[in-house]
Order: sequence, then C-alpha cells, then structure tokens
Amino acid sequence: MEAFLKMANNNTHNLKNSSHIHTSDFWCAKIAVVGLYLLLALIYLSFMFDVERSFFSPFTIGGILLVIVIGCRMVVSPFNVDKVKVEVSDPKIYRRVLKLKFKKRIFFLIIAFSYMYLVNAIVAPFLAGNPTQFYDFNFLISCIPPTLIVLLTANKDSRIKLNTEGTDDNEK
Amino acid sequence: MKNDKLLQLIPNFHLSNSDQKHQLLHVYAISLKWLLPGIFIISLIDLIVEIFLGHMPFLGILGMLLFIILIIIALNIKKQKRR
Repeated sequence: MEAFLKMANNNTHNLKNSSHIHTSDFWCAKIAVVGLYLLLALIYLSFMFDVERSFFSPFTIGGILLVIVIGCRMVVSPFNVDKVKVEVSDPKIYRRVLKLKFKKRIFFLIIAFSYMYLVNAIVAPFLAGNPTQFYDFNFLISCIPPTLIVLLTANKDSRIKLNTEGTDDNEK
Repeated sequence: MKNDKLLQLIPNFHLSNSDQKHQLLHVYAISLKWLLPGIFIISLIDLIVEIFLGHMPFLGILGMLLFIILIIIALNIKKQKRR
C-alpha cells in the first residue's frame, strides 16, 4: 500500500512539473474520447440490431463489459479529479455560465436523440431484413418525458455556486 | 488548447483548473491502452461467431473499421513526433 501511494505521489509530481507529458497526452486523450463516444454509438446500434433479429451477439456483451472496465479504471485511478466546484461572486457571470451549459446540453440532446431515433426506426430494421417497421413513432412519444425533465432541470447546476458573502443583498 | 472543441467532450473539463486539466488528460490517455485492444478483440470474436452461425457480421465490420481508423491516426502522430 505504501509503495503504491509513493508511486502515485511520484507520478503526480512528475506530471505537474514536466511539460513533455502534456503534448503526448493531448493527442491520446483526443483519440480516446472520440473512440469512446463512437464505441457507445456502435453498442446502441448492435443492441437494437439484436432486438430486431432476436439474437444476442458477442459485440454487445463485450462492448458493455469493456465500457464498464474502462469506467471503473478511470474512477479508481489516482489521477482522477474528485470534485469540481466553481464559486462566482457576480450574478451576471453566473447567468452567462448557466446559459452556456444549457446550450451545450441542448446540442448534445438533439444529436443523441436524432441518432437513437434513426437507428430505432430506419437503420436496424433495414439491416435485419424486415423494413416494414419504418417510421415507428412510439419511440418519439417515449422521448418526450426525459427531454422535459432535462429542460426543466438544465438551469440548475450544483457545480457552479453563487457566492453572496461580500454583498449586502442576499438573493435566493 | 483552450479553444479546442473536441476536448470539450470530456466531462468536468471546462470547469477545472490547469492542473486538474492535466490530470483529466492523463486519465483519458491511459484509457487508450485498454480501448484499442478491446475493440479489436470484440470485433474479431463477433466476426468469427457470426460467420460460423451464418449471419452477416455488420457490427464486426464496423468495429474493425473503427479500430483501423483510430490506430492509423495514432501511428501517424507517433511518426510525426519522431522526426
């Protein structure tokens, strides 16, 4: 245990002081992020394809296991950041940051739900060989409640906090 | 680095300090070691099993394409650094 902690401390020490690690990590992290998102998209496609042809393929099993293993390694690793908190004193900047978060979430939601609907309605039945189930609008109806929940809760982010100690008016 | 939009896909990236950004980048760079062989093994097993059972292996082909594209980009970047 002590040796492990020493190794972790040495690694963080080298990581903070050296600059050449950053240039190699930059490209590796880019490739890893894009690969992870594309792998998640492929796992969803394979899951829907398996539902259409009633077969449990090894791609879904292995993909879900791989995502679980990588996520657990990321959480347990000593380089992981525990909690991120930002305290803002100016209410104008606070509203601007929340607007940026809202725009980002809406952009991601539109791309994700359009991909899921296309896969569900068109791509998976066409690949499975029974293209009679085009334009199944049940999925579109089932998408409405999560989008409503996200739209109503997108304006509140627990990571960003408004600090009102310096000012006299304590607005909630 | 600050204006790169692909790195904004990492959660908690734009709210963290510079040291925390380095740590997050290192965590994602370590995960590349497990991601590339994992995709290769999964798609290879999928190809073998589905050809043996007589199906058309669409997902195995797509996974192999993803693996080939990612590894070509990674090798190109390694070659450019050595020169």
